[in-house]
Amino acid sequence: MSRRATARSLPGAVFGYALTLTLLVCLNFVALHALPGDPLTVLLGDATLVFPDEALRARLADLHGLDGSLGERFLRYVGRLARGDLGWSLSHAAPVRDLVIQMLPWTLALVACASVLAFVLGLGGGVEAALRHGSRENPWILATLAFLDSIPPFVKAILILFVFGLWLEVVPTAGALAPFSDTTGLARALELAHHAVAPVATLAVHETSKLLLFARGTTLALLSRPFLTVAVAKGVGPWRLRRAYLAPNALAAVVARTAALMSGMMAGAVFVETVFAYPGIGRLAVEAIAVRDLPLAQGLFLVLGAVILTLNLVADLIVLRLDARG
Amino acid sequence: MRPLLSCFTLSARLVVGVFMSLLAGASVGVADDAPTRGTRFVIADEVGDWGIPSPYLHDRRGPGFILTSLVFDTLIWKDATGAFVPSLAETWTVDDTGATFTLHPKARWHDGVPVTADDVVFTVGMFREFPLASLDLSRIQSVRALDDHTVRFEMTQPFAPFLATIAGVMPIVGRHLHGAVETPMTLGLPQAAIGSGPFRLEHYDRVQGATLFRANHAYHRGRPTVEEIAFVRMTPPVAVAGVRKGTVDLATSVPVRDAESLAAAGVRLLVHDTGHPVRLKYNTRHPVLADGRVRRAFAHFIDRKRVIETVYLGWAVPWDPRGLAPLADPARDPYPFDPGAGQRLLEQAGWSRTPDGPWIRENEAVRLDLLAPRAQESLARLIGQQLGAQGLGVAVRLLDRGAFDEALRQGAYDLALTSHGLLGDPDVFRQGVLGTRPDSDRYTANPDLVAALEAQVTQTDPARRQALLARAGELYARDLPSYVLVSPRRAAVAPEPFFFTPGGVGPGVPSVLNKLAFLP
Amino acid sequence: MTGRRAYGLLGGGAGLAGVGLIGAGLAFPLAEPAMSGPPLRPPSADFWLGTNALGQDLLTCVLVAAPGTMSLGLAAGVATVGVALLVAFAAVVLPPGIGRLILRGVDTLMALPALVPAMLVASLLRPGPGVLLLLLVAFAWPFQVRALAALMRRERSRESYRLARGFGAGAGYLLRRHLVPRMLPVLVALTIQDVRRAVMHAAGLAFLGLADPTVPNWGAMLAQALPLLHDPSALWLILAPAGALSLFIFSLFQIGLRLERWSHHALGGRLDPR
Repeated sequence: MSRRATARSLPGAVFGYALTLTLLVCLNFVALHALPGDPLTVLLGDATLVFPDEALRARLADLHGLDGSLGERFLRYVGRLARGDLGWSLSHAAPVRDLVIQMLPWTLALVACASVLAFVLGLGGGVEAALRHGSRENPWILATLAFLDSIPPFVKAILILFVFGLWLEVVPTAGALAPFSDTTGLARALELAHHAVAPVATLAVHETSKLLLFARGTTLALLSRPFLTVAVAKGVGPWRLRRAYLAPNALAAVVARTAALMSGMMAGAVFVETVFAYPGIGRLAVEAIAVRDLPLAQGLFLVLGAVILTLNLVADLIVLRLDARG
Repeated sequence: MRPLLSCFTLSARLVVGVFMSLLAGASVGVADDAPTRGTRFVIADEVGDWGIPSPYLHDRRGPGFILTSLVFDTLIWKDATGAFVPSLAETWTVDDTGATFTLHPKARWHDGVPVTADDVVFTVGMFREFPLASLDLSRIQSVRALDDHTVRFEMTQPFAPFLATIAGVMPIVGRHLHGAVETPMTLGLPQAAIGSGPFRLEHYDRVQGATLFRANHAYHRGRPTVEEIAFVRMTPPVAVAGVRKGTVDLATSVPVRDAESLAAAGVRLLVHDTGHPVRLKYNTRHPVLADGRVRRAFAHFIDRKRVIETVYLGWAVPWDPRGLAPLADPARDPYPFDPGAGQRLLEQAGWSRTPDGPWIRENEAVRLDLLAPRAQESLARLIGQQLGAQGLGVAVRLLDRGAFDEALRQGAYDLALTSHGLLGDPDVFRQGVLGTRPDSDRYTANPDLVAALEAQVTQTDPARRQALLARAGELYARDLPSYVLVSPRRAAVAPEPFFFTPGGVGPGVPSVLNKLAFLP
Repeated sequence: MTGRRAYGLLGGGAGLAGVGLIGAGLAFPLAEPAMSGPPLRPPSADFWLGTNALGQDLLTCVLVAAPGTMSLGLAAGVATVGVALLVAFAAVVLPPGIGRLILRGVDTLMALPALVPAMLVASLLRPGPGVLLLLLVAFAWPFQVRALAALMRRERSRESYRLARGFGAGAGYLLRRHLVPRMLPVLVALTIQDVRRAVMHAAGLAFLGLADPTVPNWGAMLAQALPLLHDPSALWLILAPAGALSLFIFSLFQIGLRLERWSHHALGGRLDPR
């Protein structure tokens, strides 16, 4: 039953995915180009010394592919995209593809590690909190969560930086590696892991509280169902109750929130990158929009959107399976 | 379907890239010998990545230029007193029709090829064909090589800012390098970073925001005093901790509070003015603000002392509304905080007000929008409240950078808080008033002001030029197209022999990083 | 037991105080506190929560900001979950083809960077509280649809739901009587998250010109501490609004708990399965 349901929905899901991605390319282009402001104005505003006339402006626009009507630019963009070319970033004077390939892995790795941590802690904590529903510690759990939830991510990051980085000096404070490090193999892996501890912990803590509350809610909804009452009455042990009944069901709901989790993580990543001087696309994207570096913003959002859509597709399939199971 | 397919290939490449770059390091190696330790001079900077230090590839903002100047020499350079000293050029003469430079006979590109007058000619041609927004070469009529080491610039008319805005700013590139490709901006490493400066680019790491420079032993002005410069991204608290521990030699900027405690700990601090004053810009095309009396009245309503105390925590200086320098003498402030004076000016302009009520102009309460970029939030709120306290309805709106610049360009604002550098050649004053940058005043209503500003460009006699600038300053302060408020001060940590270059480095970058400090 | 009652009272009291504050604040909006004090003073007898860089008393700021922040957060939170609930319900009960289409549309909305459309709106519309609320809801609801749809699909498989449908119950009845009560704990959790998110996002949107920065707001107060993050004063700059926000969220939890307990009992669930 379950396999059939998955198999039947797979082509449809993939087709929908492709369609959505196309739509995303168009929407991204239109939305970004409709923004007030243009990269040349910002560039000229930044220049230390300048007296540009219209001829200079036109020449710069021509050199950087900023000339022509919106339709022409869109066709050029799609044509380049078809060849795998994401364009040229004006503010970084580099091909967008290079920037994305260099920066994206760090963010993906950071977000993936933090997500796994947040999933495990949030799910486990949520199930436990639901089981303690109405007990004495409940208000304390909730008060702590409310407080954790109300502290913005940049504050969490700076607290971790000051306490663990500068005061206790147990984690590195800047970058993903020591500057100009030339370690290789295992030593490099360890160095990377060491540098990632603080950023990952910050992001994980930030998202755990949200997942925990959500998992608690779904588990509570589940606890009111008769089959569980029956199961408990039949003498199902506490461990088996959690493993076989509660966790899988909460998991289905939590997995369905993957995209929401991702967006929260990306917002948090901007601050984590700033506070820990960690490489990644969070700050790159925010700055690209601010200075209207449209090719870079387009490239980043396209790739990020594709990642989110892919995750959603996977989440869909997982949910379908979990659903089919019960 | 083709764009989609290539998206898939792209994502596949990205996935491969995850492992590749994490394990191998996604940085661009320029030389393959491993860096030696111990002789490394570490510079901490909050941003770190200012692009590849190459004329077309560096970030357009100041620090990008500074890093590029380590690798690429200009013809002349500013020293600790702000005077020009030889760099690529050994001697030079300036006359009314142009200038002649004789290059240092021993100057070599990093690849060993001699630097010749022909390279200078090529450089000017290149920047004309592929312009940089920060270099205005329109007044150069011709450049020619008189011999291998002598180059002559002819100007269309006398051009006073020539040394400061061209000879001291334009990085000279090699014809055999930048001329070898069709479009010089696409030139990649290592060719793009082969200059004739005191340092070679050893390693540029965009990901980590770090750049490593290695001394150029064959530099024509002598071997640099440090073997390596590591320019590294660090957040301010990390940089301060590094300074205390001795692992950081120079920090381009430290937070105000830390500056005080670092000074107490005996660290050498260079506190300097950024020359980047914030100004309250009036939209002189707005009917309410077209009246100079109104603009002057608003200036009297602003308490700059309070602004400095709060927004800048004391780390700023009031600027002279006449234009180019901090206010030297408070007694000569044309717009002291004086609500009564402002009130009288508004009444002269035909405005009226009931006590504690709003100002009425032509039977309508005055309501104005104050636009500010995100970075100026506190200042905008304070100015909004100071004007509001005097009965002006001011709504504060914050915009992101792109939208803010566009609103200025289109004149879609009433009041705005802008800021641009005023260091460097005084011609920057003309550009701020008459230029076409988004934050320029574009104020042409006063022909005398325009004439004075235009005349100083071609006035090569320093004393007469100064007089013209002073006259323009007086006219500007009276007309007040924008009211220059305060300029923030900055503290940098830098050992001997670093100094703050008067007028800024190169085109006017407020930085303590002048490459002369690395030279014998 | 007494501990729980005390917390319940605390929560209820805070809730009542909140409702009172919102009412009073909306009826008599307060101006921004004066910028006349000494800048960046730590908490003292004169300034109980300290002052900010502009010399404003933080306690006054927090209080003045309370009604606006709370009402905006609540309105946005409830509306977000409401919209998401309706869309998820439509995706679940409508024919599978249409349902899939709806979910694809939601996917696209999630994959678009919310910042860009927000900036677009900021450039087109004159900012105001209504626009702000609309934007906050518009960007938040897609993220809740998938989770709600997943839960609904599970609830749909229940006997009682099938029976009710078999007897010809309408969509509204099914949603009201069978889905919402069962999902209440989840809805409460989501609403509270969205309230918090709305407060924080409102601060972010202020920087796009969508909100007036002179109207105090807890989220904006938090954001204003950002440039001073490396300064010791950041501690009290952040603690004042974060504390107020925590208290508000905690009160919402207390209200949510009551709702949960009520639904739990009404549906015959066991409180302590151990």
